[in-house]
Amino acid sequence: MIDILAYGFGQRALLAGVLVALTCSTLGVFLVLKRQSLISDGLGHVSLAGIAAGVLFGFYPIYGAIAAVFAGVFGINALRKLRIPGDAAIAILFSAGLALGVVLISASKYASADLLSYLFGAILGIGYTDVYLALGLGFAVMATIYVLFKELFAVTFDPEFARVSGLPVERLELVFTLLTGITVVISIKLVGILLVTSLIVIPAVSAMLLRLDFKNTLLAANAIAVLSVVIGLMASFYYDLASGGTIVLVSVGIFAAVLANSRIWQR
Amino acid sequence: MNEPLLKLNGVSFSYDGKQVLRNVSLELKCGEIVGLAGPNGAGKTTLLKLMIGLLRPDRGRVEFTGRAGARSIGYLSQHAQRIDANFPATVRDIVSTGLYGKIGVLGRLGASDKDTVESAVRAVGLGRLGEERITELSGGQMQRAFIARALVSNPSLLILDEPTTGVDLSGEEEFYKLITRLNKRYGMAVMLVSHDIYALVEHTDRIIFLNKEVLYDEKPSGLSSGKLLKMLFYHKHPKGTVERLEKGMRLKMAGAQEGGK
Repeated sequence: MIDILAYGFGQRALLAGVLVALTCSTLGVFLVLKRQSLISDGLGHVSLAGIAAGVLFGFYPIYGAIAAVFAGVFGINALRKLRIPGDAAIAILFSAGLALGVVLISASKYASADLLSYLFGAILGIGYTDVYLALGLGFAVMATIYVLFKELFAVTFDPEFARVSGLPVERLELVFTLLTGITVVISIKLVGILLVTSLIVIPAVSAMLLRLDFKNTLLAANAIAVLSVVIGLMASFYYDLASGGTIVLVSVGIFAAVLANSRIWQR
Repeated sequence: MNEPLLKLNGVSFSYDGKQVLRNVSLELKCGEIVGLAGPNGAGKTTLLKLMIGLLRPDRGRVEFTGRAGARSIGYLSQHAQRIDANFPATVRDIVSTGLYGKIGVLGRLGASDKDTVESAVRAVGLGRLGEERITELSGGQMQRAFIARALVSNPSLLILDEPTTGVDLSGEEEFYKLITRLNKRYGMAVMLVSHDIYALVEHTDRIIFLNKEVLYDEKPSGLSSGKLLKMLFYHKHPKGTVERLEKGMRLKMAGAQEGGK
């Protein structure tokens, strides 16, 4: 632990990693309970189009990812309004984003090495711009969830009742999907587009197995996500492994341990 | 009791061109318990959704006249109990959501709101289970928790859509006792949708029988045995079957009379 903190890149990786872990796991509890976990996967793939555009046209790829994800959120929303089922809307956007990304990559001559870091994550190579972006957007997401906590809880539990009781459910859903999009973008450098859903879903599901109340489930998900990131980063630093994959494998290990423990308790 | 609370004037509604409700007019009064019955597909849930503002009528008007015109309705959906078995929320968390619309976006629950939640939880007999996870409750207890959530904002109308589905006989009896007690204590009107005509006859002040349009709107004591039988038949058979049966019976009776001459 001391060794990794002795390096600037290690400090940046830990700082951004912990913040991304907190954001992903908090949002993840809501997403899993709303049965919308795959929306993060869909938006992750949509972001590839923006990243590829950034690499091809020479602007910072994460800005491209933000633009693509926002377009994706409004696209999913528009398709839902046209009565396309939610999962089909995600699948259409997912395919369109991925296809556009692949076409743009094929048009770029020297994109492959850079793109690999976005596909699989490379947090140990994270720069100051990435850290500031993760800090700013991560705090914005957490602050919004804190301020709208009771509304998001009500909409997650029973959107129909929330609507009857007078809450602006459609607007809250849109805000929530935008928060998901932002979280996906700041997670790309940590675990990569292909593994972004894992850090959102696995800590949330592990925490739910502990059968706590809502606030303690959120705290447990946060703790599991932070633990996965810290242990995963240290393991990838000391054993020279891919950071994104290692972090996800640690979180899967924690999930397996919690699951086994909960089964033993049930007997 | 006689003050009007909610009025529907000539309300029609269609889903994708298929008419579900046709020229429905009815009135609910403060403090009364009204039963809404009708066969599957009669438009009962659609009618409730129009009342609570989840749908807008194609034609006609829905007018809330209680408490200076403000819509003040507690609602229990027929799907309320279909919740994720892992949902990490306590009874108190869920009952509190009944106040969120009232305190508004960004508003916080104050001490008096927390007392109101506590009193709603106690009113439905779940005082000891406030910190229990909602998914750990039995079907009857969960139903009570949802009634507390609908009650907590002190509505002038409580709408319950098939609330006894999945509840055993003793639970059903308990439920009707609870509704009668809450109606007396809080004075709100109750609209109860049920397939159980017998229970509605026994526990409501008025029964509205719907099949795309209002067929009957009467006090249980005023229902003739013929109308009651018709309601029971409508629940088991499509409209055409009942009409064919009636026609057949009339022919048979006419034949018997002619034979007797």
